[in-house]
Amino acid sequence: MWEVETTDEYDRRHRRYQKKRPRELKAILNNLDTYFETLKSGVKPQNIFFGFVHHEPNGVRAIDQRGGGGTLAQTRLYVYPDEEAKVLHIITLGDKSSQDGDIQTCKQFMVELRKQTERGKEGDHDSDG
Amino acid sequence: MTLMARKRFTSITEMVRDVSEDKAFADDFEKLMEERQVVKTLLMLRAARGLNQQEIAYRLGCTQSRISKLESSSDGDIRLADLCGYASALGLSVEIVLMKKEATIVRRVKFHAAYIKRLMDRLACLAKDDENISCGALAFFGETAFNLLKIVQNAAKVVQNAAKKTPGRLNDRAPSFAVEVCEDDGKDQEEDCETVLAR
Repeated sequence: MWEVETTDEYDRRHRRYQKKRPRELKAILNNLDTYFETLKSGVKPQNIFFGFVHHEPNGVRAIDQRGGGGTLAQTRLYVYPDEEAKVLHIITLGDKSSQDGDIQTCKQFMVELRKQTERGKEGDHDSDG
Repeated sequence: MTLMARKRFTSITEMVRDVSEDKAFADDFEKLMEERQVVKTLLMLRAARGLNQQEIAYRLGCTQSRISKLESSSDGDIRLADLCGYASALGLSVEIVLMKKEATIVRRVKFHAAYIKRLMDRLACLAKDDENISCGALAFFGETAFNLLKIVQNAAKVVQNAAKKTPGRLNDRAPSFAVEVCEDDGKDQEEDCETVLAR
C-alpha cells in the first residue's frame, strides 16, 4: 500500500504558501491527491500521464496548479514516487522564481535517498550473513 | 535537507491536516476536493487503462486541448454529454445514483444490496429457459455468496480487533454476520435513492 512522506523543506514551504498563496496550494494538493490515489489504485508511475504532471530528470515529477482556476500563479510541487518502497516523497514546493533552486533540491534529495536506500540494502545483507 | 524518517501518511488529507497546523485550511481543502470527485475518477480510470489525453481525444473525435480543459474542470462545469462521451471512450457507460445527502453508510450498503438483488433476479429469469446460462448462473451465485460473506467477515474482523483493545465493549452483544436482502429493504431504499441509467 502506497504511503506519502514529506521532507522538512516541504513542510516549511507548505506553511509559507498556506499564508501567502492558499489557493495555489489547495489546487496543487488536490492534483496531488489525484496522483496519489492513482498510484494507490495500482497504476505504475511511468504510466501516469496527467496534464498537471510534468516529468523531470531522475524520476522526479512536478505537479502544477492546473484545475484550480485561471488566475493562479504558476506553482510546482516536486515529488518522487519510489515504486520499490511504495512511498511518494514530497520533496519541495515553489514557483517560477525558485524553479532552478527547486530542481537542485530535487537532485540533492535523490542523491541522499539513493545513499539511504543503499545503506538499507547493505544492512540487510549484513544481517543475512 | 532532512531525510530522516518522518511520519508517513496514508492519504493526502491526513498529510494536510498534520503539516498545515491550521484546521480551517484543512477544512477548506477537503471542501475543494469534493468539487472534483467526478473529474478525479475520470482521470484515474484513464490512467488505469494506460491512455493519454491524445488517445481519448482521438476516440472522441475532438482535440487534445478539449480533453485537457475537461480534465481541468470542476464537477459543476462538466456537461453530462461530455461525461458520457468520455466514459464511452474509456469503454464505460454512465450510471448515476441520486441519494439523499444525509443517507448513512448503512442506508447506502442496503441500497447496493437491493440493487444486487434486482440484478440477480434478472439473471435468474434469463437462466430459467437455458441450460448453459443456468449452469453459469448457479456457479456465479455461489461465487457471489462467498465473496459477499468474505467482505462482511473482513469488516467484522476490523470491528472485533478494535474491540479487543477495549475489553468489555462487545460483552452484551453477540456479533452477527447474517446478510439478508429482503423485499422491504428494496422498497425502503427507493424512498432514498433513484437510479438513472445513461447510455
